[in-house]
Amino acid sequence: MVSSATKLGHLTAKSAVFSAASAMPCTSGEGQPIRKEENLSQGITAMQAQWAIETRDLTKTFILRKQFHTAVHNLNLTVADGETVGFLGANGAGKTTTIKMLLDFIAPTRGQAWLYGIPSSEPAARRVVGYMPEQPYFPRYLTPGELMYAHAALAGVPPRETKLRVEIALEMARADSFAHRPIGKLSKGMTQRVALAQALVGNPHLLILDEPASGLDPVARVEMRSVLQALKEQGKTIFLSSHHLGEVELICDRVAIIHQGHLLAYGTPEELTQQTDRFVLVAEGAAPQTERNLRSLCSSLRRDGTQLVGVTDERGVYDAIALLREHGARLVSVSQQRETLEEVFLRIVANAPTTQPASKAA
Amino acid sequence: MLRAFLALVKLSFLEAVRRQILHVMVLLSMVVIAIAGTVTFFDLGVQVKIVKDTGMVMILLAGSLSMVFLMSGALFHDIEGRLVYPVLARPISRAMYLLARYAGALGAVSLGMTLMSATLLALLWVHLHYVSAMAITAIAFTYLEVALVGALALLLSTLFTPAMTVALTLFVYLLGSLKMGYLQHLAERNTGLAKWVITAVSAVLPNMEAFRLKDALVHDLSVPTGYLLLAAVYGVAYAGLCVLLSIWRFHRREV
Ligand SMILES: Nc1ncnc2c1ncn2[C@@H]1O[C@H](COP(=O)(O)OP(=O)(O)OP(=O)(O)O)[C@@H](O)[C@H]1O
Ligand SMILES: [Mg+2]
Repeated sequence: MVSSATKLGHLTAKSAVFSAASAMPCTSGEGQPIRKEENLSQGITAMQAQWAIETRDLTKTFILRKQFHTAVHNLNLTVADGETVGFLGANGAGKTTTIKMLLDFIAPTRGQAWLYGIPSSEPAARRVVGYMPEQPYFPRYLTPGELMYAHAALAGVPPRETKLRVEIALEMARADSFAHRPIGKLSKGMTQRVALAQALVGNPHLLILDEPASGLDPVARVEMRSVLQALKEQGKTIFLSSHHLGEVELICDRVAIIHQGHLLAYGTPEELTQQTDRFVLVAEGAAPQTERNLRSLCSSLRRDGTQLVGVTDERGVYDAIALLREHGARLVSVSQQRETLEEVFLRIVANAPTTQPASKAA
Repeated sequence: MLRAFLALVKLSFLEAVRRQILHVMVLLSMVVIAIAGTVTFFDLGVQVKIVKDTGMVMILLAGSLSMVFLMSGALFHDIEGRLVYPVLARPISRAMYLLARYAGALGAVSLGMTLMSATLLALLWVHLHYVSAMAITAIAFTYLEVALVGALALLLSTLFTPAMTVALTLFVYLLGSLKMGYLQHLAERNTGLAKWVITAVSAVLPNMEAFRLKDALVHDLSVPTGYLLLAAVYGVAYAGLCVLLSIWRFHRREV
């Protein structure tokens, strides 16, 4: 499905994957708001346990040089069990700050967060969590293998399962080939894989990954994505922050966009992306003359094997179809393009009201 | 729970035993003790006294200094080096993390002290053909003193930078060593507020002299069991209080 869609061009390929993703059983998509209302009527406890992650009015204000700086504003976010959620935002948007509050590294100034219904301030909330920090660091003299054993014990893996868990985690993260080298001697990308293995070793229900693909080369990025895809298929809940939009687009059921600490949008990629007025038209058997004429109607036109793939607006579509019919070429498909997540992100961020400058601390 | 704690202790221990400061301190002390024990003096009695004296001083000095240096930078190093994140993301409390950090470092320093003590005891055995219970007791109290200094450094490290912590710990340590002879004397000589302040300061400062059984060992004096018990309880309680206060300080620390 993906490969045939690719022929329709890069952008449509992505939207094809969106629909594949949103058809997955773990996606809650449209079902969610209703469930939430039901839960509200059932009372708070039932609602809390419903979500893998829930934040209510989560706010963090730092005081820097006598200035208040609110890094996260009244964040209300819910992630259902089994869902893969991308947490998108520019540099300094408040992603890491939010994650730090979820893991109790820092205390919220206001509001609260729960992991599977347990307040994030309790260590028990992290029992089901696997966490991968942004820019991970580990003791340099340990080998990944030794680190895994320590983390398996910390995560409460039973002793007799430990060896197996360690092997599985190292293999999944593709860190097994350098499991016996000191971590201090590993490259950045290798350390990143060790960090992923470390997150996986406890066989966690909930993965909280802070920019898992940062610092990875394109091949490793694709590998990371396929690992995440596999985890998702195992039914894990994944919450990952990123500013690499393509990645998020390909694997996430829902996307939260945070900007200057404010949650601007939260929904499935389909809900967030709008139809554009761009159409992708695929034709076959066009003579060189037809191709030349078609080129004048399209904003872009390229050859893909025997096929021509053109992008045009609504008016151009009708003219192009008429042209193809006139010249006896075959029309393979016409599809309307959706926005990419990048376009959505830029649109939403551009429309966001600018926040007030930092206020003076008392 | 216990497994998680032990895993953390192991990490902290492994980090500490790799530290150069510990290696240098232990090696230097062992060399000094060995020299004191092998250079021949005119009189066996003098020689034994010198071995005991040097040995006890070296064990205490090397143990305390390594412990202060290890503990004062531990939290800072973990936080600044971003090493705490994967660990604190586990279902463990901050208290457990801190305790394990302390226990691991203390374990590493104790290992070094055991090497030094073994050297001392071996030399005493060579000279005297027996090892007195007093020697063992005196060494045990050195461990306790080092544990206390470590706890103090841990507490101060939750408040200050590593360099400041080293300086302050050594400062308090030296004041605490002076205390018996000096502060009480001062308190007696003053009146009113000054007396009150001096008494308060001397009560808060750790009484390091309480653990120093070196002179008793050197001069073959016996120490009442009641005193030993009291000193042990005092040391454990003081160190425990420091660790508790550090936990309280570290509990809500933003990392
Ligand atoms: N400890 C701190 N003290 C003061 N300000 C902080 C602190 N930590 C974060 N901030 C500020 O909070 C804001 C959000 O930072 P955060 O690290 O959450 O961003 P981010 O979305 O993770 O960005 P990036 O993509 O660059 O990692 C930034 O303006 C940052 O300067
Ligand atoms: Mg970040």
